[in-house]
This record gives sequence, structure tokens and C-alpha cells, in this order.
Amino acid sequence: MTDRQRQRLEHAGEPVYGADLSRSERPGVPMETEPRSLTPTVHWTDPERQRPDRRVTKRRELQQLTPVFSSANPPRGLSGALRRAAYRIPETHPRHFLTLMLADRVDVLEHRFARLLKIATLVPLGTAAAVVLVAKLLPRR
Amino acid sequence: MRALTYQAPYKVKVGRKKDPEIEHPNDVVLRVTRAAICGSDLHLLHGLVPDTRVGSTFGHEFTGVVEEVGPSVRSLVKGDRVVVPFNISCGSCFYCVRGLSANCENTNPNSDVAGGAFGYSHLTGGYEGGQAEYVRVPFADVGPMKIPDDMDDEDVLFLSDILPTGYQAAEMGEIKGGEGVVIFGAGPVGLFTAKSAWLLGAGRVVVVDHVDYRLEFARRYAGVETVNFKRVDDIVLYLKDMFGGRGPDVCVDAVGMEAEGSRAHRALGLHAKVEAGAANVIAWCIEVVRKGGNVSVIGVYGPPWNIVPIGTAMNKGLTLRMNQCNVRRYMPHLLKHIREGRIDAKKIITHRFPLSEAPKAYELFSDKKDGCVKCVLVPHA
Repeated sequence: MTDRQRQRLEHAGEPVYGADLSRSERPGVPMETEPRSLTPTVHWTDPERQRPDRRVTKRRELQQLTPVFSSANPPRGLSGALRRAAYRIPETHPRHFLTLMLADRVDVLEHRFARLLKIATLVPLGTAAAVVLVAKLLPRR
Repeated sequence: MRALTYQAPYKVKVGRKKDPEIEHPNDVVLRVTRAAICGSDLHLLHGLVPDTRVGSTFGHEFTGVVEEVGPSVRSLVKGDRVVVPFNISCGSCFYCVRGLSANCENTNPNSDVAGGAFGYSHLTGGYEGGQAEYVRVPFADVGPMKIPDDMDDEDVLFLSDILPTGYQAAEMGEIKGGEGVVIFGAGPVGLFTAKSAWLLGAGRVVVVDHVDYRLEFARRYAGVETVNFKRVDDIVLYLKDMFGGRGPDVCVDAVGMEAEGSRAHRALGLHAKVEAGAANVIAWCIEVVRKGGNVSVIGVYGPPWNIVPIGTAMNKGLTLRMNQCNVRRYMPHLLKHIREGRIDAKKIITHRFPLSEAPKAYELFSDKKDGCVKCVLVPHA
């Protein structure tokens, strides 16, 4: 018996085998359907528009933002400037993605630098505060 | 709230961030009950997806309970348990009404290549993901599906992505009954592709990978033959031989941009970044499949380009089919398969972690340690 025959035999008794053999049992066939509602609960033709309350990036060819967008993690600092520059380049140009990748690395460095700065500021301040506190608590002669 | 946040390539941490809010009338806010880590999250973790911003939260496979409801939401109320497709789709644009909800043009202002998705960089809209205590879900009347009362969250968790994705991968192979199918990748999507290939009536299913414990899992879970490509001289010739010298009728790429198996592709794609990741599995699919056969690509690749032997595909008369999964249209159908016992989706979960241990879960999953097939986070554990 060939492997192919053996496998078919092993699976023939299972409820799994061939359950969706008929094309009518396949939800994605055809992949592109005639126009129809995706779900019965869609109750708009054009969705309402979300209003931006901060700077949101968008690709160059869009006149306005899509009806729904994310306002999370807006572009900031040097990496933000690079990202805004990248979104002025059409995404059909490799420069667009290369600039975004560069911005990602700069973003990481910016955050590392900010963390170091925080430590560099907080550690001396904390040490000074501790020294003052200890000096105050020590009994004076 | 607490959420996983991206810090740098190969580094994530769990920290506090602002709670999500209703930003559009058709939003809901969910309290996340389960959030899985997907193989494609590893591409983000490894810094391979452009515009992955520090502080962003990953996670596009999740279930939750509705906590807040926007004023125009009609189909959900506070307290409903839902499973959410990874795609964010408006339900009414040119693509959504044609069933192509993965290609929605109303949810991603940053790119025309992809529709909106949860937790997958600003390239797919910059939406925060579900590996957090709470998450904002836009177009709540379109995507989320209520979880039946008699089913638990883990029964249906994978309807959010990997089960429909695996099913669509097999479906794009256009199996008509009795075909030989080779699936590259024994990860969760590969496993569900194999299960789906049987559902569609495949005659023989072979799964290819290089991780032995995953191949063993595939044999047990999906009843397939397996091949470890690192243990054969030439994987292309080996697979062709398995199928009478011609090759299988269908090949599926369920691996994507971080494939093992080609030093050249890894050097060019993952180290030198000359191409967007290592694309050797697409090349293998094209080489292995028989003339006139179908190649289905469901593994994730990033822009802008990859080295692919398109001339071979042309000369062999192949059909190449691909897309991100249009998850919403598969959910009711696959729910029926789960309910009727044809697919035990949660059986692939090998590890569960509280949210605080998410970095450890990523490390385990990324390094394929401890027999890990699928990790699930429990944010409110």
C-alpha cells in the first residue's frame, strides 16, 4: 500500500475527512464575492468619521485620514520627524520603508537615552536627599 | 492598565499605560480574558516590520468581555463575551462588501498594502493589541463574534486568526479531492492548514519543518506525514520523489519571512536587509509543486521586496494565491467544526502565562524551548 493510500484509509473513517469537499461548504470560495453586506449588523453605507485629537501619520496619497484610525503612539522626537518624512514619500518607493526602518532604530536609541538621562538625574538627586536626611537624623554634638 | 510594550528588537516588557477609551461611536473597550502570542508577533519582536514604535502593544489574537460600548454600537452590550478577528474592517467599503475584509480601505491611514489590524505596527494602522488588560475594538458591529454560552474562551480563541488563516491557506490551494499537499511550517498555522486540508478532501498531507518536536506534534495532532528538511540532502528533490517525481499538487507556505534553510536568504534578508526577510520557502514551494499546481502563501512577508523565482513559476504554469486571512467570513463555519468535534483548536495550547510573564513567554516561543507550540496569556490571572 502506498503512503497516499494508507493516509486516505486512516482518515476515511474520521468525521474530518472531506467534510468540506463541496465548494458550497467553503466560506472563502470565491474569495471575492458579489457585493453584499459583510455581516448583517453593518448599519451604515459610509462610516462615521473619528476626529483626530493629536497628530496621526497618514500616507501621502490620502486627502484625509481614514474614518477610523489609531491615536496610539503618535510620532515624537527625531524618530517622529523621520516617520513624518517617510509618510511624505509614496509607499511604492523603497525609500519610504527604509526611512521607517531607520526611524524605528532611532526610536529605540531615543528611549534608551531618555532612560539613561532619567537615571543620571534621579540617582544624584536621590543620593543628595539621602545624605541630607542622614545628616539631619544624626545627633549633633 | 498593565500591558506588554515593545522596547527594542528582542525586548518587550510589561508596564503600565493609559486605559483605552471610546474614540469612535462604533468602538467598544474589552477586558481581555485571553491573548495568544502568534508566530507573526515574532517578526515584530525581531524588529523586522517597519514602523514598529517603542511603547506599542502587540497581540492580535484575543477574547474578552465588553466593558464600555460606543453610542452607535447595536450588536453588543456590556458583559458580552466575544472573540475578535485580527483584521479591523469597516464592513462597508469596496473590499469589505466583496468579502475581502483583510483588505479594508477604511481602517489603515498609513498603508494601502494592508488593512487595519490589532497590535501589528503602524504599517497596519498602529492599533494597540490585546496583550494587555484592556483593548479598544473599532467597528464593534462588524468584527467581534459573541462566544456561545456553552463554550469557553479557549475553545474559540483561535477563531481570531490562526484557525481561519490555516483554513484559508488550504482553501487557496484549491483542493478538489485526493490531491497531494505539502505544507511548509509545523507551527500553529501549519497545523491548522493540515487539519483543513483533510476537511477539504486532500489525499495525502506532508508537513515540512526542521524542529523535531513540532513535527512529532503534527503527526499526532493532524495525522500527517512529516519531513525534517535538515535531515535530507535536497528538500526539493526529496519531496518531488515522494510524489512520484512530479511533486505535489499543492504547496503551502506557512512560514513567512524568518524561514530557516537558506544561508543566502537569511544573510540577505535578515542581516543585510537587502530583501524583506528570508523568502526561501516561497522558492521551495515553486520548485517542489508539480507543473500546473497551486502555491498558497499565508506566511507573512514585509515590504518592499523579496527574491522569488517568478520565472520558474511562470514556466511551470503555476497558480499563486495569497492574502491575509479574511477572518470574519470563516468564523461561523469554523465554530461549527469546533462545536461538532472536527477540530479541537485549543489542543495546540502548550503553555499559559499571566501577563506579567509575557516576556518569558515570548522568549520560550521565539526560541522554541520546552516543546512550545502555542502560548496563551491570561491578563487578569
